[in-house]
Amino acid sequence: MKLTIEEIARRLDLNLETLERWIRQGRIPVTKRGNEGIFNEPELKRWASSHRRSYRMSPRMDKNQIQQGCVLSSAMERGGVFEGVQGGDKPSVLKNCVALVPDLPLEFQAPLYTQLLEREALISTGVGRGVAIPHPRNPLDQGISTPVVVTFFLDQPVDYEAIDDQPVFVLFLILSPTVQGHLTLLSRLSFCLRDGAFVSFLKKIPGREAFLARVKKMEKIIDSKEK
Amino acid sequence: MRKTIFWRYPARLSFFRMDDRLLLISIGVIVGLFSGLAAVGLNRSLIFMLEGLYHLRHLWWAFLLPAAGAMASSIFLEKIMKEGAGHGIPEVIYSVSRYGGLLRFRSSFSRLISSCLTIGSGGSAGPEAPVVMSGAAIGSTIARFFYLNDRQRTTLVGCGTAGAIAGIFNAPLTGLIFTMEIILGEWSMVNIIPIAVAAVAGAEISRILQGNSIAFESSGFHITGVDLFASLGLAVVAAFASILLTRGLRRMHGVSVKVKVPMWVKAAIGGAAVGVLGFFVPEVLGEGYHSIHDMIQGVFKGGIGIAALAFFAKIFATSLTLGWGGSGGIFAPCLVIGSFAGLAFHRVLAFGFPGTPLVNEGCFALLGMAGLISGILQAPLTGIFLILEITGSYEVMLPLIIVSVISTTVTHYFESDSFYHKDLRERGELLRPGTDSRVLADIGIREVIETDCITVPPHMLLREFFHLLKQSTRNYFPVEDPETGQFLGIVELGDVRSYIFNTVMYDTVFVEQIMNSNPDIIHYDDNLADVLETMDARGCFSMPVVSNNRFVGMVSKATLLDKYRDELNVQTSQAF
Repeated sequence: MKLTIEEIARRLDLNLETLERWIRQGRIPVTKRGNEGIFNEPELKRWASSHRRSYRMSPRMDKNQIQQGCVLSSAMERGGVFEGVQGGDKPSVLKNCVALVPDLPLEFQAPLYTQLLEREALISTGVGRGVAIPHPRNPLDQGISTPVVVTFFLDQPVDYEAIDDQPVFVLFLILSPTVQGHLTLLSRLSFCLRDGAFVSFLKKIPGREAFLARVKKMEKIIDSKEK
Repeated sequence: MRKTIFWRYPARLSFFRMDDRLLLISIGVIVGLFSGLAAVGLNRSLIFMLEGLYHLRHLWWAFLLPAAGAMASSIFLEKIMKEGAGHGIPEVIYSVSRYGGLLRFRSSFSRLISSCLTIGSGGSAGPEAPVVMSGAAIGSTIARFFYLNDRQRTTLVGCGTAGAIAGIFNAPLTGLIFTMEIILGEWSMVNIIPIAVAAVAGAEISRILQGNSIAFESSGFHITGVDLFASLGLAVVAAFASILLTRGLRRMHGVSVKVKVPMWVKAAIGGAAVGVLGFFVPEVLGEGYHSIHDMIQGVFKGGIGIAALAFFAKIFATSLTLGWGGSGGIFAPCLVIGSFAGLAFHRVLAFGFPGTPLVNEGCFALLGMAGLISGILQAPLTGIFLILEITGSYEVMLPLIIVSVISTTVTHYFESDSFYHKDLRERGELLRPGTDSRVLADIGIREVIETDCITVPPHMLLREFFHLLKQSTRNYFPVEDPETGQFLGIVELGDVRSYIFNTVMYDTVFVEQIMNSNPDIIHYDDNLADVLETMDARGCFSMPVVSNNRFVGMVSKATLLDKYRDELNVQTSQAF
């Protein structure tokens, strides 16, 4: 198999200089001809696995690309918006919410519910002004593949032991497979919630489209600030 | 076009790319044959020179012969070949560890000629080291001819040295073990097989051309418990002889460096001194194998006094020859000195304890040789196998092992490194495979540099700086002059941590006020070991790399550990 040296370096996640030196020193089963490396793919894979390296077939996804722009609004779009969620107290509300999470396999609902309750037992996720951000303490390693934020507008405000003791009327359930994704979502969400106008906008229980449009607008502000 | 020269790229065949062992073995045979030939060639020309000059030995001006020989060899090496004096083995070791065994083609014959001049004219030195150098250079040249990579070339350099030693002593095992123990410093399966094959090839070619003769044939030794006990004493004597020779050589070298005359004049002075010495003790002249022969056969005439005198004279003569710029190795002198030591020791014992049933003195001469070789080279296996093979007497195995091992150990107390490694160690160039210094020497600054730093201008306000901080992934911010791009200093996150919540300072402090304007910097060609030492001394974990007054990136210990592990992994694992 023939590939450019740069491509091989990228696939092995190696520094170009290191790769070229290893080829010169004969430490890697690749021979160089011009700017091309010739190798046998299974052979190189075997070498990689025995040297604490992984050989990637496809180009690596750039970490930064995932995080760039509209993280929150797309996560919210994936999660969906639900109105009129029933429930008289915190556990029953959470139980109903978990049942509504889209694309969550049935067998993961009970564990998620337990995790959410455990988190609430530590300290309430009611962040004030009638908003709560329930989330599991540890990233979910099963059930979901991309970070989602599910929005639930409650049928009637419930007591959530929030920090300002106000009853909660809206819940944003954050589910993320990675800590990094969770923190990004949380920081963006809290930026939105710090804005008084946004919260009063929520109180009116806007429709799905209007709500997502508003979040997108808020997020544009964040993006522009970061740049 | 490519088709016609295809056979010069054997490593590109997919069959060999996956497993080059067969390739190395077959090229190793070629290398072994050539270096065996070189050994035979040197041996033959030495005999020729000795015979040609034999009738001149009795003339009064014969002491000038070594002078002329050493002078000619020095001029040849310095002026014509432009290579340094010395025996060349440290150069081979260094080249193997640093440049994948890259040696110049001319090295494959230059030392042969110069050492032939030195030794043939009577200088006290050995032909083995020059042959090793030449074998190594032959291996390197052949590897380059076939466009092999560094690892393969190193193996072939090993093949060359093994073939050379095997050829000159007719001792294939010694060739293999000498190469592994001294030249390569690692025992890996991938190397052993081609090198063993090359050693056999080198020994075989010498057998074909010179007959299968064991150099110092001897047998009929009956070792008893008393001899084993006596060999303990001999081991200590051999160890001190090794120390004496090592120090003598170095001392003499130190003296000759201080004398401010051209190299060839120095060589001539040293040679003349050896010549004068040879007038009184003719045993010191040349490689001295003839006297070893006599001693092992037990027909050496002369009592304790003569043997002891010859022992010291040989050490002195060798120091004079090699220390003053003659060309040759210390292998043969070691053997001669060792056999004198063994002989003298035996005679002292026989004199002090008459009636003790000791084995004959030939056996002690033999053990002395092993003791000296093991002591000087600090390579017990090489000593044991060399003596076994060149004398062909297996019955001395037990005392041989005792003498070799104890001599190595005792010498090690006084000389921490072998004769070949000492200079390298002093220069920090002893880089054995899989060691810390070797790993660090192989990794270049360019490989560990991280370039994802955000540079800031000096007039940036703290407020903007903190803004920048949010998006950065690193803790270091190089400060650059926006117009010239010159590196001005560096801001570390730790420097500003205490101001982060101090909003008053946001608009009053500039980056240039908080930056470290005189940090320790690294250049592209710095040695990684030095960089790490600086980091340890300053207690920092990252250092900026600056080239041409411009910031290019950071080197951090964390990334280094990653690279270090990879490198160690790759270096210590068997070839794929």
